[in-house]
Amino acid sequence: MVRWSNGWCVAEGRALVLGLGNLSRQDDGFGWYAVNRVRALLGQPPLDDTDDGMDRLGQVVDTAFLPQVSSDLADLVAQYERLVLVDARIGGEMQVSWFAVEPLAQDQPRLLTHDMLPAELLAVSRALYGHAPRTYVVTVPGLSFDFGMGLSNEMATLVDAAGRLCLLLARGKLPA
Amino acid sequence: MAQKVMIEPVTRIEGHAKVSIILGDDGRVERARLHVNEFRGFEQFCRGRMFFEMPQITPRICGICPVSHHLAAAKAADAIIGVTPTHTASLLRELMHMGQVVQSHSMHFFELAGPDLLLGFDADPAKRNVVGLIEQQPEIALKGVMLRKFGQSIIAALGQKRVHPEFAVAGGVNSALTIEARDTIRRDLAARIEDAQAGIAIAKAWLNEHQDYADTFASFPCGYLGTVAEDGTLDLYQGKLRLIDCYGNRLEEFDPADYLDYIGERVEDWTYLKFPYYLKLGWPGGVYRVGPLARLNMCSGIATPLAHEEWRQWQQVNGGKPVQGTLYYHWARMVETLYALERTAQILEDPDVMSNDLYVPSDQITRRGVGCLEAPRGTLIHDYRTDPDGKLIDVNLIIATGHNNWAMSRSVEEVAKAYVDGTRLTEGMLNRVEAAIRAHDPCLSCSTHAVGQMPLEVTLLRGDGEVVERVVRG
Repeated sequence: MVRWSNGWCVAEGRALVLGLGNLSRQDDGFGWYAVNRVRALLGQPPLDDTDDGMDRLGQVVDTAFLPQVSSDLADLVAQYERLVLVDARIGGEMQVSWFAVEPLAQDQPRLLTHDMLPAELLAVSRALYGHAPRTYVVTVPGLSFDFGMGLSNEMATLVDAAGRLCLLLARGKLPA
Repeated sequence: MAQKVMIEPVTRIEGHAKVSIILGDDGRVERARLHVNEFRGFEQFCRGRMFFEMPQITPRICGICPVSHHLAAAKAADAIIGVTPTHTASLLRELMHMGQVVQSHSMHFFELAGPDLLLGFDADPAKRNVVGLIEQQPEIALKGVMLRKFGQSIIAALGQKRVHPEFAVAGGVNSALTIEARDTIRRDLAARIEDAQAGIAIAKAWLNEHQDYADTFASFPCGYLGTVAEDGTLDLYQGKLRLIDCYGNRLEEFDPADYLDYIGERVEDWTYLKFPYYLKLGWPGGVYRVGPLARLNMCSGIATPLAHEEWRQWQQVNGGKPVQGTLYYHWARMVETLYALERTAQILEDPDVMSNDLYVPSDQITRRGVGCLEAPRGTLIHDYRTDPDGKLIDVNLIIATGHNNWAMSRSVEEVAKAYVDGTRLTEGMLNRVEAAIRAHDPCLSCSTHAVGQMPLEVTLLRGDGEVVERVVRG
C-alpha cells in the first residue's frame, strides 16, 4: 500500500482493465469481449452480458465493462496504480493498438456529449484525489456500429491479442 | 445568393448532430436547423423480441439515462399484462428514478453547463471544462461528483448494476429494498441536499447577474409538456401529461396512453428525427418543449418543501407566465435535483417501501402497452404492440430529444440571428450555438461510445453548395 502525501492510499501493483462500449451496437461491444478474454487468462469466469463487474472488484487485476467514462469513476480509478481502457475506435489499420494517456484537460470543452475523455477523467482523479493511475488505452477499429449483437469477423479475430495486451499492460509490462 | 453555415461532426459515431445556419442574400440569418441522427434503428432492433425482455433491452439505448428506458419499458410491459404494480413496487421504481434524475442532472449542471456559467462563455476553451472548473473551484466540482455518485448508488442499490439495471419487470420489481441500502441512502441525503442547494445558488446568482441576457438568449414562445400528479404538482414518475401554451393556459391534461390523440409527429426531409407537436394546433403552431424548463412552467407546484420554495421563486421570473429563456433550463435542472433528493427522503419514510409485496402476476396479453415517465431530459414514451403471444410487432419510442427537436433548432436560430454577422464565423457565435443546444441536454451520443471526441466542423456554404469557409472545433 502506498500512501500519498494527501493521505490517499493506492494498492501497489493493482490494476483495473476497463472495457468501454455498448454490446448492442456490434463492434462497439469489443471492450466486453476483451475484458472477458482477460478474465479467461486470469482463470476467472466471464462477465455475462448484463454484468458490469463492478461488484467483483478487489483483485490484483480487476476487470469491468461500462458504456463510457464518467466523472464518478474518478475515485475508483484513483485507487489503482495502473488503468487499462479497452475500446473500439473509428478508422485506422485493422490491428490492436495502444497508447499511454496523461491527465490533461481537453483543449476544447465537451460540446454535446455526455461521456468524458480518459485524459479528462485522469485529470479529475488527480485534482480531486491527488492521484491518477498510469493509464493506457487499447483499441481496435470497429467496422459496424449499427444496432445488433456480436462482433464483425475481422474484429473477433483480434479479441485474444487485445486481451493479452491488456493483461500485459495491467501488469506493468510494456510491449516491445 | 443564399449562404449556409454548417456545424457538423466529423466522426460518424458520436452524435450525428449537424447544425445548418442558412443565410439570406443580405448575409443575415434566415433560419437554422439541427439535424439529428436516426433513432428508429433501435425500434427495428426490438421488433420480434418478447415484450418482457424490453426492460433489459432498452437500457442499452443510452449509457446516461438507462434507468428511464428501463422503467418506461417496465411500465409498458405492465400495461401489456394488464397489471397495476403494487404500491411498494411503484415506490421502489420511483426511488430508482430519483437516483437517475440526481446523477444525470448533476452531471449536466456541474460538468457541462457549470464551466460556461462559472468560467464564462468566452473563457479560453482549454480552461472552459470540468478540469478547468476543478482547478478554479474544486469544492464546486466535487459537489457535482458526489451528487452523481449518490444517484448512481441508489440505482446500484436497487438494480444490482450501475448502468444497466435488472430490477423492474412486467408486473413489479424483482427485489426488495434492504435495510442496509435504505440506511446508506439516508445517511448521505442531507449532504447531497446541501450540494443541490449550492448548485441552485450558482444558477440563480448567474441568472440574476445576467438577467437581461438570460431573458433574451434563445427565448421564444412555445408550448410546454410534462407530467403532473392528481393535484397538479410536478411528478417525474407517473401521472397525467399536461400541456400548456406560451401564456400558461392549460391546453390539455391526458392519460399518457392516449398520447396519439394529442401528439403528432412531423417528418422533414432534412433530418431523420421527427418533430412531435400538439395535433389540435397543428404544425408549427403546436410545437412545445419538454424537460426541466417545461416541467417547472407547466406544473402547479412541487410536493416537497424546499423545491416548492424554489418553484415559487421561479414563478416570479416572468410574473407567473412560463419562463422562455433557454438558459433558465439550468436553474430548473437543479430545482428538480433538489426535488428528487427530497422525494427520495419521502419514499424512504413510506412504511410500504420495505415491504416484500413486489409483484403482481398475470397471464393476460392485452397486445398493447404504453409506458411514460419524465426522463431527466423530458417526457419519454414507450409504446409497444404485440401479437397474441407477446412478441413485439411494433415499437414506438418518443424520446425527450425528439420532443425538443424543434426547440433546439429554434434556439440555434435565435442565437445565430444575434451573433452571426455576414459570413464571419466567430468563436463567440460558436460558443453560444453550442450553449443553446446544450441547455436542452440532448442525448445525441449515448448509444455508442468509442475512443475519441466529437469535433464540430463549421462550414460556410453558398446557396449553390460552394464552400466559403470551414472551421473545425474539438
